[in-house]
Amino acid sequence: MSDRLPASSDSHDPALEALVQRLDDHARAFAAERPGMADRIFVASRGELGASGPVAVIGSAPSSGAWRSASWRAAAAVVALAVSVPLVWRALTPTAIPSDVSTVRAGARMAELAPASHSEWLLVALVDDEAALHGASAWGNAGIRDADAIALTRGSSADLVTIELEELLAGEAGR
Amino acid sequence: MESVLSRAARGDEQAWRVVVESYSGRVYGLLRSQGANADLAEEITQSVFCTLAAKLRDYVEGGRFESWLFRIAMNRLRDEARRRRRHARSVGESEALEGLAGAAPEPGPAPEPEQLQALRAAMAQLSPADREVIDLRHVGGMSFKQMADHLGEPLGTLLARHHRALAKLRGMLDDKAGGAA
Repeated sequence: MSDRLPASSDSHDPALEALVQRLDDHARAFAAERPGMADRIFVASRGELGASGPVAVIGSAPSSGAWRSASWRAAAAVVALAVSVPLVWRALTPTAIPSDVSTVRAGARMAELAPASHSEWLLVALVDDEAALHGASAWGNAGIRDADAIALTRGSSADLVTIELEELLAGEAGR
Repeated sequence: MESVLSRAARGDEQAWRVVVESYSGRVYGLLRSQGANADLAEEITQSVFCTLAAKLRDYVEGGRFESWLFRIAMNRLRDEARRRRRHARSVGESEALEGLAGAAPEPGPAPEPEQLQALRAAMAQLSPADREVIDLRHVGGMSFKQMADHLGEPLGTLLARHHRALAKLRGMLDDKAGGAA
């Protein structure tokens, strides 16, 4: 599968290349499990091409039968009702908040969400699930590799990113 | 691919066949790697493509087709897992959760190579978040940019997560190899 993918930052590491090769084998083994699947799916789905409205999906997979289309329709009806009631209510009542106030609030929210500086962007990039879950320092074992990854992303050099990160972390520690 | 998608959206069956042949195996593999058995994975893959065929007219070209496709597939798998867990509370759990137990290979003419078995055992120990990153990249064949769109994360974070997930997987395999030696 990796032949379709752009080169990764790990491509110089023989051990990781071997691992990626094993992952490719893992994917190919799945792909070879169901010969003729694409034909079956094409036959089952071409009738839906360009259709509109609720989708009734009939399966021909060995264990499937129908894909609970009746349940889907019922769920779609509930969702449509839930969406339409507030819309009708809003249409019938005056707007509570002037549009300029809404715009100001939206702008403030955007300001909250957007990193204010390049350093904050780097910090955001480093504080991922791993660090949050395990309390690991972003500057721990994986720090150098993170600098590589961020440098690759930003078209910058790993050294420059490392210096910026050190300054950022020193600044954070001094607060 | 965008032109093929456009033709398929206009009802061109040959273009639609190209779309199905290009992506159905990747969707199926992703579902299998995420724990669905072969029958369930094909069933969900088929339902995903039936939905796509019906909704393709509404697809706004923007290079996000794969993200859209894989999101539908993953949501379907999660819905099915939730449905089976609810069902498991009223009937025998093992019966209801059948099909979601893991990505064990289907019985085939040749046994799975030992290395592949070890890899799958190690992948089963990864956290769902790490597993998803590995699967989207190496089974789904998504680019990092597509994965960042799909998961709603900055590209740098995604690259770091992918690297760490690979490192964990490698560590597990090394430990297993060391223990066996």
